[in-house]
Amino acid sequence: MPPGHFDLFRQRFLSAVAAFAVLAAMAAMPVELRAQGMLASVTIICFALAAYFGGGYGYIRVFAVLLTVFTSTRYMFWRVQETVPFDTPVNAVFGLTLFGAEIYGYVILLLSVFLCTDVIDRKPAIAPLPADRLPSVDVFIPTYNEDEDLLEITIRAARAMDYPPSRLSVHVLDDGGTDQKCNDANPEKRAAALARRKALQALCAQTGATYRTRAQNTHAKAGNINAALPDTDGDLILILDADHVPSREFLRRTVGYFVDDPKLFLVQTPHFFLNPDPVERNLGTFERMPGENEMFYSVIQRGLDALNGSFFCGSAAVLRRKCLEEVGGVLGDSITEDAETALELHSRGYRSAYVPRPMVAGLAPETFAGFIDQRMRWAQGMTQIMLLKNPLLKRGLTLPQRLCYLNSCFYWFFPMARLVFVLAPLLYILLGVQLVNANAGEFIAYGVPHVVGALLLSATLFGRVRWLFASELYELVQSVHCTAAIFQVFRNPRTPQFVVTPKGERLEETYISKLALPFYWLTSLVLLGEVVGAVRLVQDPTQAGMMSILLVWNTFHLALLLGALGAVYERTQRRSNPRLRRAVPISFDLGGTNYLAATSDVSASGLRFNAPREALEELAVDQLLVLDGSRVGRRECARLSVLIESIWETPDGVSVGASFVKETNDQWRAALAFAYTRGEVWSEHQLSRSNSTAILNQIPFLFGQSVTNAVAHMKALLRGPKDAMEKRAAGFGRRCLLVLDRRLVGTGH
Amino acid sequence: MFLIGASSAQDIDSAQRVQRPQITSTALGGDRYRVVAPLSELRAAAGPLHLRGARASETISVPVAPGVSIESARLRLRHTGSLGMMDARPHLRISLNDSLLAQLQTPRAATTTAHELGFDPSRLRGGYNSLTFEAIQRYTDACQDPNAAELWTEVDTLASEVELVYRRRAFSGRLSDLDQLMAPGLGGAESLAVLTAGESVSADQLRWGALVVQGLANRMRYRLPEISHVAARRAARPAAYASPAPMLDPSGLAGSDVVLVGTFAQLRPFMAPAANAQRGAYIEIGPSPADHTRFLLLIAGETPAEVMRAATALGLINFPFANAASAHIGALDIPDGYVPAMDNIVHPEQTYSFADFGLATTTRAGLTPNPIELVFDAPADFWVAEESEVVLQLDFAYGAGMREDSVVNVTVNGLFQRALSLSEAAGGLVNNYELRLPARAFRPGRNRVSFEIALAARQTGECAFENDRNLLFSLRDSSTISFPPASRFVELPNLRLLGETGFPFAGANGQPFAVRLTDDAPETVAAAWTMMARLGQIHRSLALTADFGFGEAPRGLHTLVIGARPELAAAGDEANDLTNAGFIQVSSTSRGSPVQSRVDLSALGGNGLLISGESTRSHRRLLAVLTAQSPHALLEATRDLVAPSRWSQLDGRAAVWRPDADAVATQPVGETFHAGDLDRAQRASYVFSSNAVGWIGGITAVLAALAGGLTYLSRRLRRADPRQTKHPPT
Repeated sequence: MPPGHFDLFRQRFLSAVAAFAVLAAMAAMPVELRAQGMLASVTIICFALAAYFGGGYGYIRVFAVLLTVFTSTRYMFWRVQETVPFDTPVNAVFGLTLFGAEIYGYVILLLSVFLCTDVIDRKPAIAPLPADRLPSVDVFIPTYNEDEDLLEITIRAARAMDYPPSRLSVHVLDDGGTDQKCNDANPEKRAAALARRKALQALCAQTGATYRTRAQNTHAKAGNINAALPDTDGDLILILDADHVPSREFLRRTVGYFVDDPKLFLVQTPHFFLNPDPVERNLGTFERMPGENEMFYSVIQRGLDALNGSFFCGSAAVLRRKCLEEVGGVLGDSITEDAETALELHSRGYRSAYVPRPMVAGLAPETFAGFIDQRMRWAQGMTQIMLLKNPLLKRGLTLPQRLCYLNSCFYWFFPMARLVFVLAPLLYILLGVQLVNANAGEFIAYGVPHVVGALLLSATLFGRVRWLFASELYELVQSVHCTAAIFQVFRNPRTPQFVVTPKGERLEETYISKLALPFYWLTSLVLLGEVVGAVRLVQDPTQAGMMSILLVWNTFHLALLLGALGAVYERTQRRSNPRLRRAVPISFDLGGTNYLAATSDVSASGLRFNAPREALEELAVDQLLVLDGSRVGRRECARLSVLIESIWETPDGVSVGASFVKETNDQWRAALAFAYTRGEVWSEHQLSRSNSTAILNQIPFLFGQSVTNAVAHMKALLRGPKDAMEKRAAGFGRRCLLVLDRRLVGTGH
Repeated sequence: MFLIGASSAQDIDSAQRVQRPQITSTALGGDRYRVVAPLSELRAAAGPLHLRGARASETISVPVAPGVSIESARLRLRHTGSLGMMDARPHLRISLNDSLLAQLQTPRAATTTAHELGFDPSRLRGGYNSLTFEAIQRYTDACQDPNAAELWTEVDTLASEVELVYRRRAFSGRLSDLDQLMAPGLGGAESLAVLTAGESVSADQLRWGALVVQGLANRMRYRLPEISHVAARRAARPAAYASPAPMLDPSGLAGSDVVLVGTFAQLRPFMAPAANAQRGAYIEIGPSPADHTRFLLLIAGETPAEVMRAATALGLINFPFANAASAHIGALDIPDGYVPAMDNIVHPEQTYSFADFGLATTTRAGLTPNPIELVFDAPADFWVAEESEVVLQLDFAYGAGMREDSVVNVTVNGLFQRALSLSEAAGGLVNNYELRLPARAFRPGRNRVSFEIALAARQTGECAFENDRNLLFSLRDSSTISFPPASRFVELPNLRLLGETGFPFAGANGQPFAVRLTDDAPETVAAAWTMMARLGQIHRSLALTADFGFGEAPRGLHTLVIGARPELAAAGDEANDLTNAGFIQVSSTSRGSPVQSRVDLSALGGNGLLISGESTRSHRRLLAVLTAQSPHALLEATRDLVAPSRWSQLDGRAAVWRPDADAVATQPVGETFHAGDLDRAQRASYVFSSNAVGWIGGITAVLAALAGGLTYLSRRLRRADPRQTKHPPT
C-alpha cells in the first residue's frame, strides 16, 4: 500500500464522523413549531441558493451536503421522538413499516454523502510500451446464447486492441455448446447445442480466437470462467460479456495500474450502452436523459474507488490471475459472483482501481422482461452477499470498505422501500390507518425541508448524470418484481439461480410487456386513492391539511406510475446494432470527383453520412463505396467499404445510409476501428446528454413523455379486445360472404 | 415613534377616572349599620345582567354574615326590556331563596326604569342567599320564536343594589365558628386590627401577624377586611365584660375585629388574670373590649415557636377547632414540604376526577343552558412542552330525539378547543370519551374548562311545538383530567402572573421567599399584612416558607420589599436602584401611534408603585418593591391595590395607580430572566425557540464553518493521495 493510504482513509472517515456528530447534536434540539417553521423557510432558501450557485466539487457542494444531512437528521429525530404511532396495533405495525422505509432512505442518504461528496480522479497509468515489460493478457468472452454476429464484433474488437499480439490471447468460453448440452436428452436442444458449438468453433478459427467449452454447465458464468483458468496462463484476465466491444485503447489504459501496484487485483471500467434500456426506449428519453447506469459508473464507483472499495461488475474489467487463483477463481455462493469475488479479495488486503473512462460499449437489455430479469439477479445477488458474507463483519476489510459494501448491498433494498412509500398514503386515504402522529403544520415544518434537501442532494451529487425523479421512476418499475425476488432470498439465501440476461433481441412489433399487470393494480389503487382523497378533502375540512399533503404525495406516485405504464409498453426496435450519433469527416471518390462528407451516426454494422447535393447523381442504392475515414486517427479506416442501403434528399444535400462490408479481415478491422476507436466518443455522448436539459425542464419533459406513452399503452390495451372482436367479426363476415357466394353460384347469379 | 420625556409621578396618566360603586358600610350609631352592595359586586361576571329568550334566569348570591340581625332590607333595581316586546305580558320575577319576592312588569323604554323593593328581612339568612331574576318575555300573543332577538331584559348591575340595615349582635362565637365569622358576608368582618406588644415590631411578630391575617382572609375568599396594625397598650381599667384581653386599651379599636398575637410574656399584661396559667400554644376568642359585637382573637404561646404553631393552626382552614372559646394547640404535625393551599392546584403527571375539583355530576337542560365549568389552578411556574396534551376522559349522557347538530363546545379559558357531537338520535351514554387538549391552552394560575352546551330541538320555529324536555346533557363527576409532565420554569418579572397566582410570594408552591420592610411604622406593617393577605387568598395558602424581617433580604430568595419611598435604602441599594430606574409609560396619541414617556419615581405623590425586576444580588431571583411616598400613603395605596378592580389590572414589570382612579398604569416587560429548574435540553429548547433568528444564525454559522473545514481537509487529502490528480474532480 502506498504510504499513508490508511491514514487518508482514517482521516476522511474520522472527519465524516466528527461532522456528523456535530450535525446530529444540532439536529436533536427540539424547538417549538414556530421556530422550526422559520428554520424550514431558511433551509429551503439556502437549498435554492446552493442549487443556483453550486456546481463542481467546492465549498458550496460541501455546504449543501451538510445542510441536507442536518435537515434529514432533524427530520428523523422528529419522527422518532414524536410521530411513531403506538395507539393501536394496526397503526403501530404500519407506522413502523413506513418508518423503517424512511430509515432505509436515511441510511442510504448518509452513505451516499460519505461516498460521493468527494470522489477520486485517478491519474492515468498508461501501460509501458516495451513488450517485454507488459503482462500477458487473456481475454475471456463467456457466452451462452448470444447471437454469433454479436460475438464476432466483440471477438474481432478484442483481437484489434492496441497491445502486442504476442502478449494477447482471446478465448471464447462457450457454455451453450458444453458436452452436457450437446448430449441433452431433447433432440432439438441437442442439435442446437451442436450447431452452436460448430458455428463458434468456425468463428474462432476465422477470427483467431480460441474456442473453449467444458463438460458441465455448473455455477453458470463463474463456473465457465473458472473452467478456463487452468488451461490459460495470462498474467491478467480481461473479462468481456459477449456484447461488450472494447475500444482499441482499453488495455493500454488499464494494464499500467497492475504494473505500478503489485497488490492490485482489479481495474474496473464503466459499462457504456449503445442502445437505450427499455425505460429509455419506451419513454423516448434516450437522446436527452443520462442513462440509468451513469450515476453508478460516473460518481458512485469513483466514490468507492477513493476508499479502495470499487468492485468487480462482471465485465469490462481486468483481474490479476494470481489473485483470482488464490481465492479459487470467481466465487459462486451468490449469483452476483463478481461483487462476491471482489469482496473476498478486498478482505485479503488486495486493492482495486476504477478508471472512469468508458472503453467498452455494450448492449442494455432490450425488453422490459430482460431488464427486470437482470435487476432481479442483481437484487438477489447483493442480498445474498449481505446475508451470506455480511460485509459489516467480514474480517480483513477496512471500516470504509465495510461502508462501501454496505452501501452497495443495502442499496438493493430500495424496491421494498419504494413500494412502502407508494402504499403508505393509500393506507390513510382508503383505510384511515394513522401512520404518523403529526398534523399538517408539523409535517410541513419538518418534512418539506427533508424532501427538498433529498432532492437537492441528488441534484448536487448526481445532477449531471441523473435527472430529478428519474431515480424514483426506475425504482418504481423495479419495485414489484424485485421485492418478490428479495423475499425469496430471505426465505432461502441459496436458492436464486443465475439467469442470463438476454441481449441483442429485436422487437419486431409494439406490444404490452407481460410484466405490466402489477402496475395496473398499483395504478388503479392510486387512482382510487385520488378520488377518495378528494372526496374526503371536501367532506372533512378538519383533516384537510394532512389530506392535502397525502394527495400531493399520491399524485406524485400517480405520475411515476404513468411513467411505469409507458415503460412497460414495448416499442419496436429493429436494429440489433444500435447507432450512436457521431459527426466524423469522411471523403469518397465517385465519378472522378472527390466528395467531402460527414457522418451523422455510426454503429457496428453501418453508418449514415451527409454528402453534397452534387453527389446525388452518382450515388445509387446497392452501390459499393469506399470511404476514407482516416480522420478518426486510424490508418486502416482509410479504406472503409460500405454498401449503400438508402439515399434521401435533404435541404442541405443528401443523406446516405450504408452498411459496412465485412468480408475480409481488413474490412472488419477498418469497420471496427471506425466504430470503436476511442472512448472519448462515448464520453462525449454521455456529456451531451448530461448537459442537454436544464434542471427545471427535466420534470415537464419526463412527465410529458410518461403521459404520452401511458396513454398509448392504454389505447393499446383497449384496442386489444376491440381488435380481437374485429378479427372475429371479419372472419364471420368472410364466412357469410362465402356461403352467399356459393348459394349465388348455385343459383346461377 | 417614541418620545421620551421626563415627568413626575404626579403625571401618571390614568385613562379612566371612573368610580366603580363599591360595597359601602356606614355606621348608624350604636350597633346599627347600613350596608349597600351593588349587584355588580355580588356577581362574578362583569357587565349588566342580560336575560335572553322567552324564559331566562340568573341567580346572584347575596352573602350575609351570621352575626347580624337585619332590621330592614331593600332591593333597588334598574332594568329595562326590549322595545320589540309586547306591552303587558313580559315581566320580571324576583325570588329570594326560591320564594317569590316580587313581580315587575318589564318596562319597554329607551333607558332603565328604577324600582325600589322593600322586603321582609327575615327572609335573609346567614350565609349565602340566592337572589334569582327570571324574565318571562313575549313579543306576540301568537306563536313566537323562543329565541327571537327581541326577547331580552337587562338589569343594570352597577345601579341596582341591595341595602341592608342591620344590628350587630353581641359576640358569642366559638373557635369552631371561625369560618362563619370570617365568611364573606354583608355585615361581616370589614376591619381587622392586628395588635402586637411593644413599641417596635420584631421579625417574629411580623411573621405571626402575616400568618394570622392570611388565615382569616383565606376564609373570606375574595374579600379583604381593612387591616391595620396597632401597638397594644394596657388599659387603665378592665373591660366591662369578659374578654380574652380585658386589660387591652380599646381606644382606636371600635368598629374593628381584633387579633392580639405574641408570647405570653408580651400579652399577659392584657390578659385576664385567670389566663396567666395558660401554657403552650394557645388560641382564645371572645368579645373585643372595644366593641362587644366584634371578636378578639388571642394567639399566644410560651415561646415564639408556640406562637407560630398557634398562628399556623389558625391558618389551617380545616383545623378541627372544638366548640369552645379557647384551645391549646398540641404538636402540629405538618410534614416537610406540605403546602397548605386549599384551592385546586394541580400537579403534573397526575390524574384528577372532576369530583376532586368540586364539580359534582351536573345535568343541564334546555336549549342554551349555562355551561358546566371545571375550574382549577395550575402552578404558577407550570411549563409544558409544546406537544404536550391534557387528556380528558369524559363520562356523559345526553337525551334522545335531539337534532343532529346538538353539540357541546369545549373551551379552555375562553378559547374554543374541541367539540362533542351529540348526534345519536336515541341519545347516548358515553364512558371514557377521550378528548385531548393542547397543554399550552392552559396557563399558570386559574384555568377554566367550560363545557358549553348547545342543544337543538328537532322542531323549531314560531308555531312549532318545541319539546325541550328531551334537551338534556349530563356530565358525571367520575370524568377525569390528566396532566402531562411539566417542568418548573417561568419568565420574570411578570406582574400579571403575580396577580393571578401570587407567584412567587404566595407560598403555594412551597418555595421560600423573603419579605422585607423598610421600617416598623404601623402603616408599613399593615400594608405588608394587607399584601400578604391578598396573596394568600389567591390559593388560600399560608406563607409558611416566608422569611419576614426588616432591612436587606438574604441572598438567594425572591424578595418582596415593602416600605415608603424615602425609606427604601434601608432594604438595600438594589431596592432603591430598582425604583430609581423610573417608569416607562406607553400611551397612544390621537392618531394611534404609541408614545413613551419616562416617569421619574423619586417623588410618588399620591401614587402607589409596585415594581419588579431581577435582583442584582441574587441571580435569577425576583425583587419586587411595593412603595408609596409615605407610610400612610403606602397603606392607602396597598388597600387600593388589593381591591379586585385594580388587582386584576396588574401586568408587565411595574404598576402605578392613584387613589382617585380605577385604572392602573403598567410598564411593559423589558429585560426578563428565567426562574425554574428546566434541564439543560429543555432550557436550550426554550431559549432557541424564543430566539429563533439567533438559533438559525448559529446553525448556519456552524454549517458554514464545518463546510469550510471539510473543504480544506478534502483538498489536503487530495494533494496527499498519490493516486489522485491534483485538480478537483469533474
